[in-house]
Amino acid sequence: MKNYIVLFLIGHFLIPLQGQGQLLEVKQTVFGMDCAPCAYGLEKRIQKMDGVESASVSLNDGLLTANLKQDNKLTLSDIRQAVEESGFKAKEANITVTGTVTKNESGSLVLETVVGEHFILEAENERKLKDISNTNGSLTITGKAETSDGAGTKLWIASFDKTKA
Amino acid sequence: MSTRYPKIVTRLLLIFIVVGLSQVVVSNSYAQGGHGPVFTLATPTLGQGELSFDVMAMSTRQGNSAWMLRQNWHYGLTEDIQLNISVPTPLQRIANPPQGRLGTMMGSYGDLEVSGLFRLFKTYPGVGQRFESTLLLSGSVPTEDKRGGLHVGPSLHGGLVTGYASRTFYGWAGGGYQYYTEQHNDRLGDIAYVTGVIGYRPPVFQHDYPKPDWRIFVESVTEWVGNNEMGGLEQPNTGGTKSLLGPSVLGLYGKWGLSGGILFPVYSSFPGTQDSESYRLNFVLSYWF
Repeated sequence: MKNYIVLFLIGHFLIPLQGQGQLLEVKQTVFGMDCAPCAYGLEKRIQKMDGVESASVSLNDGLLTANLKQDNKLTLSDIRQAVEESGFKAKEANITVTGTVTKNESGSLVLETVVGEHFILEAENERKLKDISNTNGSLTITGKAETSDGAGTKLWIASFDKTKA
Repeated sequence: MSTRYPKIVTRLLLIFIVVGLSQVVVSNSYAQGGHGPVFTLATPTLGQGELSFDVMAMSTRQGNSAWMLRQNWHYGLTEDIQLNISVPTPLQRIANPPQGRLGTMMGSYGDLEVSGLFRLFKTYPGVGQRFESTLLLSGSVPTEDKRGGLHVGPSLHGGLVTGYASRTFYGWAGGGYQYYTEQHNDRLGDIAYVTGVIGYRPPVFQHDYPKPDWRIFVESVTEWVGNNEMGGLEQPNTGGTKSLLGPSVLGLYGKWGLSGGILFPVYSSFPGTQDSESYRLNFVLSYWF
């Protein structure tokens, strides 16, 4: 019985670790937003989303910045859908995201978050991709996410860090 | 126009502030959907699930001055479909008000209007920029039995507008048609109209959100009004064509908006001896939930 209790406690403390943040920060470029109430509506919509720590909007730069809670379950597509529902167009985004790296059927490196969102990893420097492919465990990657097409969302890596995972 | 305008403006402003603000306070939050011109058609629609309210004080003069408040509610059903209701509260009626849509995005003088905005086309060429086209369909019921001595019936209206918005320049062009039904053998003349507006936000007002955001517009409306019918017979001294032109300004601060404008007739052609319209004046206080 004592063993079961110990296992239960270990499991209990492991679950929050497993659910820890995947998408950590989003700087989403927004097209078509031209007025203060537009910015207000979008900012409010994002702030109301479960898992958002803070959100702010720059009209002049057309930029939505969202900082997410560590235990959020949000995906970039959730954020982009909210932008579209506000009546605007979500373009590329600079994001920081945590996940595990795998390979897809075509052999491309893919970052998968714990909520199942996939990013196809791209880098201007091939060596960066090689370094990532040699890394085990979780990675935190910062980079530019393109708009999604049928094949998935490409994430151009600016930097990565395995220690934050 | 001369010495009476300052009194009109003062009176209008007082009523606007007292009645308008009290309504805002009592219901604890409101706003307007249009964040563009005051008199003319424009394309923007609210985001999905967004709600806004505005209270508008409007005045026109044809012989005597008429003024009214309008409360307009707007709701974004989707990001491309917006539902609106516009409720008039006449403060000072005149016997023979000008026939026309005093603000083209809402009902005619004295009409309660329910409308839908349908954004048919949109494209986003860059940050803060968009081209779009929007269809406006509405139905109105009069809040009075008679207008200008005629029984007033419900009406149907359709309008189409297309244009461009950015952080610096704005421009929309559109037109519409309002059809009045017969009531006790009387019928108000139909209204066909075109509108055009250009806007500019000077660099000095191009501060980033949430700082105040101001823009200025030049608006124009041209209306072709059909003859009224009384007892089934066309009335000769009714209807005609008129064009109005004037400036407006829109200030936005977070979830608040304040706009105002005035139009003056620049052309009129009437078949009879009716009074011409001297001006149209609107002030709008908006709140976005």
